[in-house]
Amino acid sequence: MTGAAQALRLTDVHKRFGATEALRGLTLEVPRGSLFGLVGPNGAGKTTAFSIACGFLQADAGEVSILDGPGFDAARLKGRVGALPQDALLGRETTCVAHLTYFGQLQGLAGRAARREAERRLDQVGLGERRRAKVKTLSHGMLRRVAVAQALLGTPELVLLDEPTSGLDPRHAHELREIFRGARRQGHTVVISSHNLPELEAMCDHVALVDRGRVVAAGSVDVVTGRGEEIEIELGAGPTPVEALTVGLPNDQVTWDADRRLLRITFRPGPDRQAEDVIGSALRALLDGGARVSGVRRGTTLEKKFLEMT
Amino acid sequence: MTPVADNGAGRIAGLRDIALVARFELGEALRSRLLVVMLLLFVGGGALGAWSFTALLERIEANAAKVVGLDANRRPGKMVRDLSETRSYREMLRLFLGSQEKADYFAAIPPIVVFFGWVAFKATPWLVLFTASETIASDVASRSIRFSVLRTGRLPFALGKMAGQAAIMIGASGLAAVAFYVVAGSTLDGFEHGKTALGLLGTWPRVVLYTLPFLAWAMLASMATASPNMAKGLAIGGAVILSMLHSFTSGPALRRGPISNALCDFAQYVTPFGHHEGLSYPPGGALAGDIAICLALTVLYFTAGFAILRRRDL
Repeated sequence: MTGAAQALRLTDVHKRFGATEALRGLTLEVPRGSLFGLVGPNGAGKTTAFSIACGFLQADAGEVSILDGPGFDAARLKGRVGALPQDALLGRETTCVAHLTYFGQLQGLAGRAARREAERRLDQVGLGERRRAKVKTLSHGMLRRVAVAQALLGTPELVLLDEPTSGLDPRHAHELREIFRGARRQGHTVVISSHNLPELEAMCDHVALVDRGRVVAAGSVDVVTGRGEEIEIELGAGPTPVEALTVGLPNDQVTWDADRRLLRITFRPGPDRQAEDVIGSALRALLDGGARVSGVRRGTTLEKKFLEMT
Repeated sequence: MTPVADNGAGRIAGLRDIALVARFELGEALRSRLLVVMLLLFVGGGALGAWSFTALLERIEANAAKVVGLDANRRPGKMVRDLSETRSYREMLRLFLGSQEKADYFAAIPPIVVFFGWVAFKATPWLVLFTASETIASDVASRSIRFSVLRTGRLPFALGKMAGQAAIMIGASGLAAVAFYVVAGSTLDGFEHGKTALGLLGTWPRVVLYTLPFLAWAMLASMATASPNMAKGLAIGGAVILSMLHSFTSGPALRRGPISNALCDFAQYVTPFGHHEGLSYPPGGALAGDIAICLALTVLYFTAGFAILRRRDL
């Protein structure tokens, strides 16, 4: 990736809190225009990485490049970066629309435009009717949605969202995911950290797995989960013609997990050989050998990959 | 959306951000009723000060009337006003202040205004230390500061916070002067409305100037810690220590040679206490000197606090 192709790059970033080393040389590259998932267990360093990218925390060592410039500079990045910081609280006595109007003005919008944008974003997250409600009267889920709305104010090129759907009911979580997809379609770069791996797998096109302060795997979701070079076939009770399959796919690696009755085929994709071709060949060999196929999946799940890597 | 016109002046954008943060700070203070509490403290203090002055005068004048055999059943104030117009009062002031010019200046001011100045110079800094010291620390504690510093620099944010607190202090101390005026005017005999109003108007900005370094000290404490209670403790505890330092270094006990004298003089300059003396004087060298020192200390304390905030994790 070239510099211009990345919206955010953290290189060998270290951060320590007393005796705890939160980041141990974390390196992360977020392609411009991507919907990027940051995955990791609690304490892996996701929030710390977010906070350093946003300039809330100072890195002990390493380099941060954000939107083609070094480090976070509020003047240079005014209105270009939106963020949902974890656990940050809004003033209890202030209304939702007053908060968002103030933030909009601070990022460079004129007064009326900021007000209109605040109302538009509140409508978008389903809080249009509560725009004049004081923050202290909102539920946890509503607060989360107000916080997401503030992150999307204006037209930020890069949006960093730390656990945006945490604590939301399925309907509102779904609506937010649609908003994030929409932001990506409009060319914004959206980075989301979450524990909800199926959600990230379904939504993101790129992902990084973080564990103990380092990135242990990163790239497109297809690459990380092996969708382009790995197939899993689940067999029902009956014959298991693994030998025949191995002979039929001489250039590929075939492994058989007898306990789970799961075949894993790892192949090298090429211009004339895609996953669909391998699936076809494998199914022919298996069905010819009398196997009963109960499921086929391209690659592994992000969750399985995450458990393997961490 | 209409972005603010890009006139290429980052400085103007910075000033706009300072004004936005200050306005939001005022709004938050109003909504959280902090402003109401502050106004009550200041207005109550002003009214109480005027009432105390009246009560004291009443007692003194009643006793004096008994001694000289005059009518004691009249509103207080007349005797002091008559006294303040005598030559002996001016002579007493000259001896007390050590200068005919200062004596003439103070003799022309109604005694009630001098009393207001004395109370305001003593009380306002402590009220500000009490009310302003949490402002940034509480934002760091709740992490709400993150929403703002993502959109503007830490410096415009901190300056906006201070400007908001300064606006609250200026408004509250002005209202205290009004309360003082109203209570004194309704209780004192021979109250000079015009002269007193002008005197209070002249004293109010001096009190504001004197309080600015204390406000900056409160901001320093607020920028140095993420705990609102710790910030309040630092601001008030630190001010107590500075007050003691000022007292010790103004007396002769520590002044035992050129070096200790210089150190004591230095301590006198860098502590915010005592500079109201120059601010109480007529226009001239002492007034200008203490205005300059108050402004310099304001910049010094704020800069020291910002040096911490600039580098700290939020």
